[in-house]
Amino acid sequence: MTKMSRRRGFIAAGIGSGLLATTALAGCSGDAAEESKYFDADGNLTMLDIMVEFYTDAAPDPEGDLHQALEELAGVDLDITWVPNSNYADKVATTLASGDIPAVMAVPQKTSAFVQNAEAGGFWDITDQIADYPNLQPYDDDVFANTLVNGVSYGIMRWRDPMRTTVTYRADWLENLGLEVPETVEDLWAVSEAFTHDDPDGNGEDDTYGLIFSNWSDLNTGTPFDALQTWYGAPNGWGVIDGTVTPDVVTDQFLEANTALREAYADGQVNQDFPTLDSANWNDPFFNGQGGIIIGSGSTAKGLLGLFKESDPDNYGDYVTISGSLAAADGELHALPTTGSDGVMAISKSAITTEEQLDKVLEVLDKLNSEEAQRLMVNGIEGVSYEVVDGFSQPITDTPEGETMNADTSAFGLVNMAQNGRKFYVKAPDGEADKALVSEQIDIMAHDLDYAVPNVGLAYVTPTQADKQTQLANIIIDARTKYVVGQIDEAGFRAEIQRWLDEGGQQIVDELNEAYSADH
Amino acid sequence: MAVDTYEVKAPAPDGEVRETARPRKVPLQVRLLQYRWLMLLLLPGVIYFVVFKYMPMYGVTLAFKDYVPVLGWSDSPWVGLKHFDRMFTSPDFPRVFWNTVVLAFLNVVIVFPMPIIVALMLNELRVTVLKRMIQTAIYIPHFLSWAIVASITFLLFAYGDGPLTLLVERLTGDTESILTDPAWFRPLIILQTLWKSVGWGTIIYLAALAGVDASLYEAARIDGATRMRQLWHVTLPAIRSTIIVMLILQSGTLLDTGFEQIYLMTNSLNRGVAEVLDTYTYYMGIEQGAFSYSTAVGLFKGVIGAVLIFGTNFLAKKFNQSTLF
Repeated sequence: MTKMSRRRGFIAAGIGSGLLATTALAGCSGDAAEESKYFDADGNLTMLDIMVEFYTDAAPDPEGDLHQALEELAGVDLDITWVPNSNYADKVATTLASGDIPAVMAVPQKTSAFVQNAEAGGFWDITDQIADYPNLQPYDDDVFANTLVNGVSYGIMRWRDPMRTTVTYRADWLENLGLEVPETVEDLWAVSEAFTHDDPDGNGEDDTYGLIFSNWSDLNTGTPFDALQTWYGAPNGWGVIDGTVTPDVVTDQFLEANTALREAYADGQVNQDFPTLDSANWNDPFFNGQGGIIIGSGSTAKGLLGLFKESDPDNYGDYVTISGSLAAADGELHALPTTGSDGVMAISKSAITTEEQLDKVLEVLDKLNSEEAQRLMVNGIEGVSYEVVDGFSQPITDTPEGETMNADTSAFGLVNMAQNGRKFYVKAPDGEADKALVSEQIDIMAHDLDYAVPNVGLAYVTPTQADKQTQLANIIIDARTKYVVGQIDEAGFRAEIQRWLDEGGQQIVDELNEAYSADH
Repeated sequence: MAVDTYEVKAPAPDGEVRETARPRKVPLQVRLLQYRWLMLLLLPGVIYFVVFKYMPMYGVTLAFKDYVPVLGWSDSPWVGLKHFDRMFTSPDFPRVFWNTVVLAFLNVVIVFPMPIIVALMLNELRVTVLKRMIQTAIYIPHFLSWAIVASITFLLFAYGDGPLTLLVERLTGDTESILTDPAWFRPLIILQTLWKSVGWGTIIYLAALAGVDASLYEAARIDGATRMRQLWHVTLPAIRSTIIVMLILQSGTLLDTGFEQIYLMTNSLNRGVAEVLDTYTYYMGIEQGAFSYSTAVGLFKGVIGAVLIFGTNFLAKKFNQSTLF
């Protein structure tokens, strides 16, 4: 009997401790263990974990040549968590909420969750430290200022083209109708009207329209709406008008731009299903010959050219032509720039706990910003994945190694920061039409950059923004869509803008003005 | 032995039931050992509930704190009912709550009875092959994800060239923008839910129907009952307890309007009627980073669910119906 009861006790204890172990595993994040995860006994950094998004089909192999070469260059093991871009925003939010944050994390947007965490001490303020590292010197002060949160740098910014806004047109339609590439918004509407009513494809049927819009309508993220509003002279998000920081939504130009779009929509010049068309699919109507104009970026134009290249390899260049930002009716050009960066790579305080440790991490990030590292990440290894031709990189895709490495570079390009400016090679376009398009695009962007309208609100995240941003943005996004498709009239639109002001917009205006005037 | 735990009662001479043997006190350990294999089978279920249902309950405290992840659960400051205050004064909340309640109501009135009706219809089918084929066909949608259901809906109702949009156009003479028109949102959601869930929902009722004693029908027929009369007086009372238990179970999840489905069908034009508590918590919690606030909203929803489940159970008891507990 005693033997029996001991066994019983053992089983019961087994069940109990099993539960306890599960509890302990889930409940504890193991702070003590993490300190040694990054540093050896002598305090040398041995490993760095990085969380970053990727756009390609498959994440790079950590045993791959590129990953190995980068580890060698950085001098530490790199444990990179690749997250598909479509889930990345949610992944960042849940990672922040869990408190279990990797040492280095890509933060593409200054979301409320990130800002709250950073300001509560979740990420390192590296504003003063970067001066000590040669490769971490910002290449442009204005762009750098855009990445700050109320004057504080919470990470190394990721470089991106400061100007991207490009309008793509069906070149064959323009030619059929004898029209020129638009230069002003008036031209744009004229072309869009002709594309809609004058049978640009010459098939005798009324089956075409002008502009292709999509449900991509977030505020101030470089959407077609943002471009149009800026061209009409509205601020790019936030602008200084008569000494006051003013949001775009309260300006006349904002209304004017959307009224023009509303009229075009009513006339059938804009795809009637745009509120439900995913921007990932907006190339389709262009390629299929339904719509003829897309307000996007240089990548949009390249993507479209690529589609025609597959269907008509000989004359694909005849289908696509581009322009940059369009001048307002008074002839003045207000170009829509990007923020100049793709967010920052932030360093978590829960992983890297002391200033000495931070210095070690910054040393590695400094190496990763070097010319050598930039070229490795974006172009690969010279002779294996690319050759340098006329200052461009010419990808080598006819060897298996070259092919794999080129696939890897498209992912590692997101790890590349280039806070000190672009030192990697731009990929050489292949094909005559592609070359022509790229060089035209480079010229247009250089020209438009001089007319860029800065967004003065980017450097700040005010308390009300941190608290209500999403909620408030939805008011404008929804009202704008309703106004354009004709569900509400101008009075209704104005009422919604007033609601935006009442529910927190005015508070943001006040807070931003206070912060801005303190700095200027 | 199992029998040891039963009370054995025998009628006393005066007709009263009298205890003849007290149940032998069997220690818990002995019983655990006795049923050790059953316990082992139970273990995964217990672990599941502890890990995924009970431990997260600690997170409910976030609703009463200003949660900043850096500070952690325990160090974030307590703020009392601040988030509930914000919820009830928020301009969005009444709209979101109303949208949820309307969808919940439609779910109970339209979606809940449909599997019963379909099950009764299937039960009347006498050609087994046909019955099996229909059953299989209507089960299939259950296995599709909401993303696929939404994609199919988008294709069918596409503005301009969707087949069902064209059908509506023929019938009414107007080109309707079905996917974006707020008036169409709820009918679309209910249609999707019906298509996806009705077939699967019939399973439990068909099982209940299979258990109805055939002699009852025989007796009813001898008494001259028609098919409809048999349905009304024999079949329905026989599955009544199943229906009520299902209703009680569903009442607890009444406000779960389903996140994925609603999220996928929402767009700028129909958000006014589309936003429900489930999507609202997502927007506020994940997108806005208001973790505590969205926890408060989620907790509120949970409390309503608990009230509903107990309320329905109470009512069922009151009307002498079978109940859950």
